[in-house]
Amino acid sequence: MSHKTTQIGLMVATAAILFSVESLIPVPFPWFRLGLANVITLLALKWWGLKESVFIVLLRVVIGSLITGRLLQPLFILSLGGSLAGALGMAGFIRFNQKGLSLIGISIIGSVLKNIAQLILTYLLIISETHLVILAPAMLVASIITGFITGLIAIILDNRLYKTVIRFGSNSR
Amino acid sequence: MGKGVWEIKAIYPDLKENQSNDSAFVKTMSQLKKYLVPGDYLLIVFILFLAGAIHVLLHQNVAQGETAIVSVNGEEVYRLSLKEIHDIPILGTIDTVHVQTNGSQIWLHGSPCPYKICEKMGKIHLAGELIVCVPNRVLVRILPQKRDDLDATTM
Ligand SMILES: [Zn+2]
Repeated sequence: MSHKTTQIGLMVATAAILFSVESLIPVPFPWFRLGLANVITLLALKWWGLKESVFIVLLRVVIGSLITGRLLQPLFILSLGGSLAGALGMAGFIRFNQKGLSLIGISIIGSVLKNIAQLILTYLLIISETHLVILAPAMLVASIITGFITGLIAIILDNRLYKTVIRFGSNSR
Repeated sequence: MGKGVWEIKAIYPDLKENQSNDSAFVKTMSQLKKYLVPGDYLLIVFILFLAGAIHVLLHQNVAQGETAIVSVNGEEVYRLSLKEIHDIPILGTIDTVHVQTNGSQIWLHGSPCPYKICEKMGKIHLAGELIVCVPNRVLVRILPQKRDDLDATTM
């Protein structure tokens, strides 16, 4: 197994644990979740790239849903769709707009896109009510707060976690 | 033994300062400015503006509502006047939940859903307000007063 495979595996494990623990905490709507696993998605994007990040998101949602017993339920599709939309959006901004936004800004964009995707998926899969749009302003404000916090955590963890992950990869036999 | 402590202090000379939670918090807050770039502020202002604009657009005709629609799985099952008093069992996809009115407000109680979030959303009375129970697929919506106007802007 190459070093990078091990490193990505460690990131998947960390993200899956964060995702599972967080999904045990009740919130009014899925889009008011802090999304701590997003810290891992964001850092993977920064360190490696879109491919690795999407891979981590896919495995994290599948493993996390196996742990919480929600595999293939509507909430699983909400998590998957939301996380992928967030990862793709953040990837675009990291690539083309690196200096215009800090990791906090990138994280807010990811959070907004994740929540818009989840609102659309809620409409498509759970409640076909166009008046769900009345929840959009609260959702946007919640996205700023959750995105800000996860982005700040990503900035603080960036160097420390990178060292740990890289060391983890090179120590493995 | 003593040497270890000195080593730690050499690596973290400001360890003593950080022992107080207050100063660590203040420090983090002052460092926040260092992390943020102008684009971040612009982005936050833009999203807040967007949220405000959508909110104003949707709440233009906010007033005491008159009629509420109860739907299960997207299909209307009841239409209640908020001016009357009701306590009606509604069969959701999990089990029965009660929808109650008191002459001006409407709310859910006795929900079978796991976290009772719909009950915690409380009593609503304004036109356009809604209560959603995602697990039980139950939605209570108070009709906007100028229904045609609002639908035209939201669709
Ligand atoms: Zn409920």
